[in-house]
Amino acid sequence: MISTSNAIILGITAVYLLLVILVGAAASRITGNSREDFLMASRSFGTVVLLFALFATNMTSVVMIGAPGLAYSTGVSAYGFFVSLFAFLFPVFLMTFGYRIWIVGKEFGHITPGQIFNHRWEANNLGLLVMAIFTIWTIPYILVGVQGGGIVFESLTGGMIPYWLGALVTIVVTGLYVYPGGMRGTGWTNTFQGMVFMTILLAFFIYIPIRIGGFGAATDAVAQINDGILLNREGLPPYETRMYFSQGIIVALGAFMFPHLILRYMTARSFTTLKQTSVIYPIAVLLVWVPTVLLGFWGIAQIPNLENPDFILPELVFEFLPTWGVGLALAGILAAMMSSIDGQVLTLSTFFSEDVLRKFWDDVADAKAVWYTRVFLVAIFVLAYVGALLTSDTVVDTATFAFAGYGLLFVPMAAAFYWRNSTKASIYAGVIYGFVGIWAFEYGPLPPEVVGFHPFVPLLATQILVMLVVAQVTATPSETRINEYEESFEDVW
Amino acid sequence: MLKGSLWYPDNGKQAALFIAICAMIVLHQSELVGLFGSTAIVFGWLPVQIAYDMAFNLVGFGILVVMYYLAPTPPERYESEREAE
Repeated sequence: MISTSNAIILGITAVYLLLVILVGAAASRITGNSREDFLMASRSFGTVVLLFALFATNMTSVVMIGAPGLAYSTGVSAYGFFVSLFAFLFPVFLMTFGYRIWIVGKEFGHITPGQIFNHRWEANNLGLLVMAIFTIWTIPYILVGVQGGGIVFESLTGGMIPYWLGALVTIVVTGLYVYPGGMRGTGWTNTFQGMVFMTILLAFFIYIPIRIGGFGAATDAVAQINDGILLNREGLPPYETRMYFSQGIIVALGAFMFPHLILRYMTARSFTTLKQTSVIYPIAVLLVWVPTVLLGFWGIAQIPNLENPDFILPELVFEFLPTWGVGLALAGILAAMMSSIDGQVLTLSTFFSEDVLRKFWDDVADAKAVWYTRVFLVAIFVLAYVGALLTSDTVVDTATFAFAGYGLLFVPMAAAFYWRNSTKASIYAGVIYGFVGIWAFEYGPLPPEVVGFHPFVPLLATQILVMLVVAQVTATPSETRINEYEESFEDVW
Repeated sequence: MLKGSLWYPDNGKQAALFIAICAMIVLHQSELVGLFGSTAIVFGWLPVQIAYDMAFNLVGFGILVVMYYLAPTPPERYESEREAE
């Protein structure tokens, strides 16, 4: 028998999920069967849709589950540790490097990073390698979202919706709007979902501390724990200078290299759109991350000794909000998660249809390519669901490993746009070196940190060295190809 | 390819922007302004560490606004007709 409170929570959540599906359905009505339209929304996103397509996709369960969990474990410095450098560097990259990605998409019709790699260095299989690595890093990141869906459903319904069912609902609803609407479906729903989770989060940010006794009382309660240790970085290992720097660089470079974002840079209508999105971006990050970190931070004193810190936001909601508020919370948290899973799954499907199917099988018509992309979508959704049932890492642990992996593709990709004398062999070397290196540190015999830095930092520095050395002794692509790119970037940052 | 980009400035304004970006990477470290172990609270409720990080992002927003206005004008062929619609 369902209790009244659970019925209210599930009712609100069901209405929200229905609205998302309707927005996706509206997008699908104008989505055609051409590749350009299904996969890239005909490169037509304006500033608002592009902002939310990038922002909502970036604000995964890391922001709604991981960030409060990190603040709950380590204090208020979680914001500076994870996101403040990213919030500045990401838009800087978008206005410079991102603009060049957009140009080559427009100029040469590229859709995937693999196509850019193959074309720029006149390679046959380099793109396939890059695609495989992007896929390997994206899968755990999809799992983070599905995992988050399961966690919040279970937590906010008091266990009535178990983890497996919550994860299943998250996957199925996402599939229902990605499958028919493609890139436009994800862009429109991301805009709607981004607005929903921002509004709901800001409402919690005001309401929960009021229930505690005011903002001052909420902070004071934490300040009294161990002489205010959680108010600053002192004595907390992740926040030592070198690790703090490492994390900032990992997130900034890694998040810029999310493959689902690279595709979206190319969906911008114009450079003006990219510039406007860049300028607004840090404010959007600030509006979401400050509340979520402070809520986790205040939770330290309100709900002490939680076994899994990832549960702190749902627990706060359950403790301090009325039943209908819990329903809204569930909707808001799901919004953040689904708006990331959709882009990630669509991107992997696009990779398979563009980098594998169209590359190795000639004469795949547009409509057929779209159909195959949809088949891949379903397959990836099923795999993601199974993976989410098997994983047990915390959200932030899973995410940081994936960020580092993406970040080690930053320099090889930047070489396409900024390094004239880069060679195919040097890119192969850089990509393989970064990939093998990060796994060796994570699971191999190498230590978990190097003189205080996350292994990512020395790997990044030595990756550049390896690429420079290999480029000296191997051949560049034809002058014609280099000139094509060089001419495209005249008077461009 | 690199020369003339923001990352290899060839004029004073670009150089100033490049320096500002590098300075921000350094200023991300709150200990540079003596906040590593600070337990100060501003406005009666906001720990100074996160207040600094928020201010850092607001300064970053200011730099991005400057970049917006200094960015080179894109070639005509790249500004889609749709933008004008």
